[in-house]
Amino acid sequence: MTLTKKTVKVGMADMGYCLAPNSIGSSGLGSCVAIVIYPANGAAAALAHVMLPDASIRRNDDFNRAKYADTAVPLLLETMQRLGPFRNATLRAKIAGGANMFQRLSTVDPMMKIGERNTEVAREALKQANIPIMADVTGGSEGRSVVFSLKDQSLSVRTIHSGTKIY
Amino acid sequence: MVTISRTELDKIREISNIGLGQAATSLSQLLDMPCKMTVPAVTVTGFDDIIALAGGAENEVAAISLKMEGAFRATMLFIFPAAHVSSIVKQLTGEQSGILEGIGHSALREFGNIITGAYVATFADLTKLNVRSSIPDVVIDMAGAAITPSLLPLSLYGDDVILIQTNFNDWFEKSPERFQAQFYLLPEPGSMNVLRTALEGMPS
Repeated sequence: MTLTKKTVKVGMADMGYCLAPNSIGSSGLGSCVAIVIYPANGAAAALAHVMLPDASIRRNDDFNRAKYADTAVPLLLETMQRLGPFRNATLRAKIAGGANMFQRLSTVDPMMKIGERNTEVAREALKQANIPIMADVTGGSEGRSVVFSLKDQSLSVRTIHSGTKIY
Repeated sequence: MVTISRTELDKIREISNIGLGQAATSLSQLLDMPCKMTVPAVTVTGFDDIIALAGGAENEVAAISLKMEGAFRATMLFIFPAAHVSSIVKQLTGEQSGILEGIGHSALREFGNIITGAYVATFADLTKLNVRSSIPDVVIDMAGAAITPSLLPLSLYGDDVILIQTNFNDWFEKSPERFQAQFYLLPEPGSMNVLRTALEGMPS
């Protein structure tokens, strides 16, 4: 039997997971940050596409944990626990995104500078969970598409102007 | 979940139809070619659906973004395929190169001012709300990355938004590709009560 490899696509403010030998990715990240968590043995991976830094800034009651960096990390950890008996100590992370897309508007609207904040909170949440960040492809002013492959635990990052790089 | 009544949707559609009609007239004069527009569609939609309307998260687009500020707050976005940037810049500036840096970006920002200026003036006139538009900003990148920053103020309230969408077609009649530009108005949910009251004063 041959296994057909596939790539799970995760939308904005959403999360997903995949098992080896598949891949998981998210497209057109601007200020959003993709957080990928996987065990060192590469058996599974979970990805969240977060839009905002922390859940405390929300102004509504319906609560989507995948949308905020601070709540997405615990959600990813819970997902990994459901997928297998992975100990936190063996987990690794890769993150990408957090760009500042509108350089001019961000001078008048702090909301436009949220990419930087998303990245900071994602790093902090991972640090608290004791998960090392193996690749941190953040900042700048370009949109990114990412695919994490369980085959070699690589994160491929594509931008329009700089092409595809592997981290 | 954002809620809005049918009557309110109809009124917003009417304002947008008049305002964007004037924008289309300005554009055809500026570009010296016919510019047609569709009747604005007003819907409540999810973030991913908006990105899908712009051709998907990885589609290369030019996005001109402005804020409507004052008594009512909203984001205005004018989006068109990145492939058409250089011909629009050439048309606006008379330069042959259609370069993106410097003069090209200024030309696109001015383009955004013209489109949204007519819209904001009509909006203020009909709703009697004191609104103005911010400085424009331009980004040429993947649709997901270019559009998401405009959704952020709305994302604090939930995972869906009120979308007023109009397509502009046939700018380049000789072009084999059919040109499609889109105008989006995304009201901030915190401003919806102000708009509701203003709409009540308008004849149906």
